[in-house]
Amino acid sequence: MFRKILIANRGEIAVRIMRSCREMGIETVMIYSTADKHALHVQLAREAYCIGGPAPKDSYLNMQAILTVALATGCEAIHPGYGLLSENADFADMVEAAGLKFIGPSGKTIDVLGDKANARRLMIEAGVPVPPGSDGVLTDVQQAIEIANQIGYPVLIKASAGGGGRGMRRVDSAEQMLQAFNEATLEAKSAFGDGSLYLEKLIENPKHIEFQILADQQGNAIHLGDRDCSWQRRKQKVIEETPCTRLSDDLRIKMGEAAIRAIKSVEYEGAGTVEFVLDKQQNFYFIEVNTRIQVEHPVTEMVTGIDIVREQIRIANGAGLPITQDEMQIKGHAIECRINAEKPSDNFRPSPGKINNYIMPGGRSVRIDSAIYPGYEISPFYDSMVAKIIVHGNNRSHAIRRMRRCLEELIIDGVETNAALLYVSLFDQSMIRGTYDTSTLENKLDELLKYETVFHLPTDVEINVEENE
Amino acid sequence: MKDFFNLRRNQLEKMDKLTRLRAPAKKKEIPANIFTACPKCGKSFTHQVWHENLYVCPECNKHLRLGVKARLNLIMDDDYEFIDEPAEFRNPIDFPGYEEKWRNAYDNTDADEAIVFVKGTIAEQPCIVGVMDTNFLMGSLGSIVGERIIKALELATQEELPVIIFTASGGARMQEAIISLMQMRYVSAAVGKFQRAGGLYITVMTDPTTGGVTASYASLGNIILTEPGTLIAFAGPRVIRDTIKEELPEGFQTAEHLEKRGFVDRIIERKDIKISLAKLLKMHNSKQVKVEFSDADLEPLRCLINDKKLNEQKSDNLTAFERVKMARDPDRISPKQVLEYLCSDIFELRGDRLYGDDQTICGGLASLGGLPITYIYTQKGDDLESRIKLNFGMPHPEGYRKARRLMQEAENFGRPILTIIDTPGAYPGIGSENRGMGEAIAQNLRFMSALKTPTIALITGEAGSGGAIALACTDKLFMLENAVYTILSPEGFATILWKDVSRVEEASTNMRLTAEDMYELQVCDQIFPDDLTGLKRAIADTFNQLLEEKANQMPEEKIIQLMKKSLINF
Repeated sequence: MFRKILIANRGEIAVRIMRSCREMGIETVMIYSTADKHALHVQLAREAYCIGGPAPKDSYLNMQAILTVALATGCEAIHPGYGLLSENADFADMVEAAGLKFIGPSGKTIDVLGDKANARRLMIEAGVPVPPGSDGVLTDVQQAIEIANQIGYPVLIKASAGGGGRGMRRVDSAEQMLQAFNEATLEAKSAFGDGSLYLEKLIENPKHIEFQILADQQGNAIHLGDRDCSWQRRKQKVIEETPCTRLSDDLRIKMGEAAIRAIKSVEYEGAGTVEFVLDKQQNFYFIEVNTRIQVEHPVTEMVTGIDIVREQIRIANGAGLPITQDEMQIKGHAIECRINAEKPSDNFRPSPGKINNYIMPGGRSVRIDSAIYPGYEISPFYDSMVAKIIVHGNNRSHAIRRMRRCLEELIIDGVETNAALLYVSLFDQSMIRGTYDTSTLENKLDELLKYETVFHLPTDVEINVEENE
Repeated sequence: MKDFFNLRRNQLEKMDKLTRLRAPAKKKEIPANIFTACPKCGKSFTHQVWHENLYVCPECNKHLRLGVKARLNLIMDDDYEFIDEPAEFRNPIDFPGYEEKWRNAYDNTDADEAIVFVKGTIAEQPCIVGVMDTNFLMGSLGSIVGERIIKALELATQEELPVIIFTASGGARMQEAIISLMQMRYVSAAVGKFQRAGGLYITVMTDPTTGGVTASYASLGNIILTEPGTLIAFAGPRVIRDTIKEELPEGFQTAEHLEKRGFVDRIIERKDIKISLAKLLKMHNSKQVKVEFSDADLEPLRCLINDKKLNEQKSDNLTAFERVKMARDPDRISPKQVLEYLCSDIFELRGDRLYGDDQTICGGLASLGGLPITYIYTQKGDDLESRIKLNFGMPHPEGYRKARRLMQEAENFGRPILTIIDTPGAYPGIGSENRGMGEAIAQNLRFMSALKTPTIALITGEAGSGGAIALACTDKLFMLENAVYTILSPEGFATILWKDVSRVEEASTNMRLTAEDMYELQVCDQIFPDDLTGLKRAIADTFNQLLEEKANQMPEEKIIQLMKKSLINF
């Protein structure tokens, strides 16, 4: 087993990875930017090194500096966390070249899956359903219009190298195609250095369902159940839960098998996520594979009892899978809420600032993954997520009630958060029934924000207080 | 953060209104049988705690009112019988609505009237016990109550049993109007008759004892006990407040206040009431006719005085003034210590029933070699604080009147009396004079001279003038060897006669004040060394001898003879 690992990340995920390492008896090295001098992952670290300025490109994306630290401190592996360098194939290759282990799939695999058009072709070969569309990269606008006419509008044109919505355009008619094609090409070129596009039928208002995968170096792969991440705003997940209440057992098995096929279509290693969309007719289509640990992984940990980070490290070290697919059992229901420092009523404007104090919820089956502490200043340079609250319940309604209770207890003094919006979301009919899709939150936002004000904690609390007896 | 908590609480209330499917919870009363709050301090305790603590508040010592059943369980040995005739409703003045009220009380309380009598034993001492119940028409004094008391007293006279009544009453029964008032004179007469026939009548005033009950049989006990905090009054506080339009001082009309005012003998905690009553009953029910000390009891008392002082005191050639100084020594053995050496089972009784309780003179019951006696002693106090409180041993008139009251009780029950004296004299002061110090002393001199019961006085230190003789008109007078007995202080003597206080030593010698002088002048009958050697045996023998002799003699006669004899001698 590795004796020492460098954690190439920051914030709550860095702390979370360090916790598993500590429990496994593995030493860790943290890196940080000058802006993160007081961040919790640095405060808790036994060893931490400043590797550059606040901008991610100067520090957390500075591959050379990170490798230098890893080598100089005698690390044997690097855990990239999520975001930042986690899905960077060059970095993965560089780490391997330096004789260290990159905890995740190889650079080649990342590359193959990162090329969306290529991945789409691979999935079709492997018998994984994909949305109707182009077989590979589009050659020109004319081809795009032809295919679109064939499968019917609306369609999406997407950057083959893309992600996160950049280089992507919705097209509702042939007339719009030219302009959209040109814009998307330009955007993809500037963002990813690659202007190639592919086309897919737009599945309107689907559910976002993903499967957590573990694959070992021996070619075995299992899934740890699904996650419903459809409560989103602008493609950003806000509430995630497992298992999805709208999947029948049959469909879950079918999708799980498809996910395994998808993973096995490449030489995959470690933890990953296969993302699908599920339309109203219960048709599911492959979207992409995320080749990293995900923000919402704790909900899967809650219902399976498996420490995914721990398994990532064990697999990277050559170990087999902890269980077989048959042994995998989902117990109860888990929900995660992402607490972001932002002001929903002001168009979700980020609300960085100093955490004066806070009360985190506690009690049975409640997990908090966070990187804040009283006196901590949330930096404007990075993600606005300050904490994840994860709860487990015997069943879904139990979990919802527990999450409501947790949000009632939560108090953060210093910055405004989306906690009140999350809280009122848990009273929404579509949330209670589990029928929500990726458009629901945005469609209902105005209505939810009306109630949000009832529960919102302002930063300047004295103004609104009516003394209770 | 506190502001956040408050805000969040407000928010949740609003959210609950928006989201609540069920009706909000309704307020419920705390079931009465789980917790009961103390009416005085407000602290709540479970029923079991109240029960185990005899319904006395563990926090503030408030003694809650007890019903008949609870009271009898607390006081009586198991085997007792109810002796009343069954209560039958009567309406002497045809008061409207009375019957309904009476029947309601009859049906809903432990008792069938406001007082219930039983015959039984308290720690094996037979007696008749009456218990009043405030749950029954506020324990008011109706004609059935009066009748029951009279019948119980008559039965007690026949069977020669003592009577104890636990009073608890709002006073007269309004629904019986003048007939209720008449009960006051009837029961008081019956108490008097019972007491004259030699009966022991003890009252225990419990909360509340007021109105016509206080003004009749409750206040007539040979001994009056009460529980802490008991309201004792004639006119209740509300009546007084409404009449004189004045706020009443705190503690006014409480047991504690009345004890200071001399109207009750002792405040006894509820848990100690049974044992106290048993002790008192036993002392009044003694079959013993003699003082009986075992040889072990008669061992000399060495431990109370340190040897150095003892040696000094033993020297025979002290001057009179040196003896005066020794008599005044604050470290000298005190009357209380002497009493504790001589007696056991000491039970103090307080109050003159007129004005107050003077702690400079203490008295009560004690057992002297198994024989119940009445003791009286003076005290000077053993530190500065207590000396100031006790007037440096100078009693007020209420002290002498208390002594006389206790001696009257002793005479009634045939108990010998032992007085132990160490006082510079009666307190010279405005209060003393206003309350008739001269009269108080004079009464005592005449009263004591007429006592048929044997009496002994012992002077342990100073015996100053009228204040001393008012406790020393006894059959026999004993003195310790360094005690002095004076017409007034030698300093005062020198001032009056020679207008020169510095001639105090000369005065001491010429006044003739030492124990030896007293013996020669036939004032004192016997002298004992300061270490009390022989005292116990002498007191025992003297009482025993007096008990035999006194039966046939008129006491005053003897005193007058004594005077004639002593004059002839000189």
